[in-house]
Amino acid sequence: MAKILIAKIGLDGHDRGALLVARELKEAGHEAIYSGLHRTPEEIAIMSAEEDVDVIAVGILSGAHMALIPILIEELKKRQINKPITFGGIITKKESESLKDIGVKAIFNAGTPLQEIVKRIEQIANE
Amino acid sequence: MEKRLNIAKNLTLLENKKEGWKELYAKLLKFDWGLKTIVFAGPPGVGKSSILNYFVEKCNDKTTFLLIDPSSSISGGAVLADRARFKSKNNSKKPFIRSIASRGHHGGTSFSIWPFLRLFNSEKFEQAFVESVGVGQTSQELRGIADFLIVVLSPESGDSYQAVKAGLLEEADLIVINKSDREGAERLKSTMETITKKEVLNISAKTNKNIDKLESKIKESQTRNDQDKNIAETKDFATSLFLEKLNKKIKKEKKLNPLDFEIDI
Repeated sequence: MAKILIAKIGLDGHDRGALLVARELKEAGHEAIYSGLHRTPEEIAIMSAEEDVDVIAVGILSGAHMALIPILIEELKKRQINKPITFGGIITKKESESLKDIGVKAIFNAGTPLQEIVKRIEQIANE
Repeated sequence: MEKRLNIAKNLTLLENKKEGWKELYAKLLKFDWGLKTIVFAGPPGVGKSSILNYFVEKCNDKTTFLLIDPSSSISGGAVLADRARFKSKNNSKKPFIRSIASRGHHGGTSFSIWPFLRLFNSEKFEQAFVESVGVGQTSQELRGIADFLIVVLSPESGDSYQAVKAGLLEEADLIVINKSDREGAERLKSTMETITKKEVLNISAKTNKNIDKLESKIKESQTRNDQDKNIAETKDFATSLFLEKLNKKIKKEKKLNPLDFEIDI
């Protein structure tokens, strides 16, 4: 069993997908903590520490991922929180590459089957 | 932050009973109680998280919020979404918030609640707000952990037949009717007052009606004495430990005789 923070960051009101991922994780026997909408990267960093999660699964659908994910990584570093990040949303190949370069463990583009997401998150949690 | 990270790691150690949890718990037992535990219980959807949102904004870093949601009895997994309702807070002295899955506990709380409270107590926290799993009729364990037990209802929460039954309402220190901007709140209040002989407060987490009154009730409330708490802790936590072992055994061995567990202690 793994503990995963489903994190919604920034000005983005769409959480249907995030909730579906949470449900899928629950059905696979994991504990998913939902952050709620409109969180700042700093809040997500603090939540991930307090909840002591194994993975931070970020979902951003506002298009601001290239701005927000580096800030999240910075906020985690600042606090010496060492937790893997995954990203889900609509993202170009080029952007995917640069997010992976700065340490994002997995990218789930729109249309990725839920079971595949769960499987990959399980792998990352066990690493 | 380092201290918080440490607390979080120790909570996980206690929750998952990792190597060393017993030694840690034994250390925690040596501290006298200084922590006041306020429990919010009640059926799902009456607004427990929304009420707590008000207190998250008011409280400082000497307060913890422990939010319990149910685990699935089918998969064992859980979605913990109580803190999703909390609004962002721009204050450097933030309370410590932790979500907890009930992991098969039936009393509205979780097996690890006592070790968790002990840990915050040893870290000199002053208050713990516990949000129980949405429950209504039986929850003795909630009475056990609570210095002040608040049962939250909504105007649709039932009638005099419900009020007169045994259970959680009997144990409450205060009954709160949330969403009292809706129809039926006054009627339910007078029914509850007449039948339970308890204090009933009509509030609204949406409009903040009377929420200041709830706050002062909590402030004025007394803590229970250490001995009562220790008895409740022994009872609850020892039961938890036994049940956990029993469940593991049942999973392994299919043929068991219930009388094998009629043991001397």
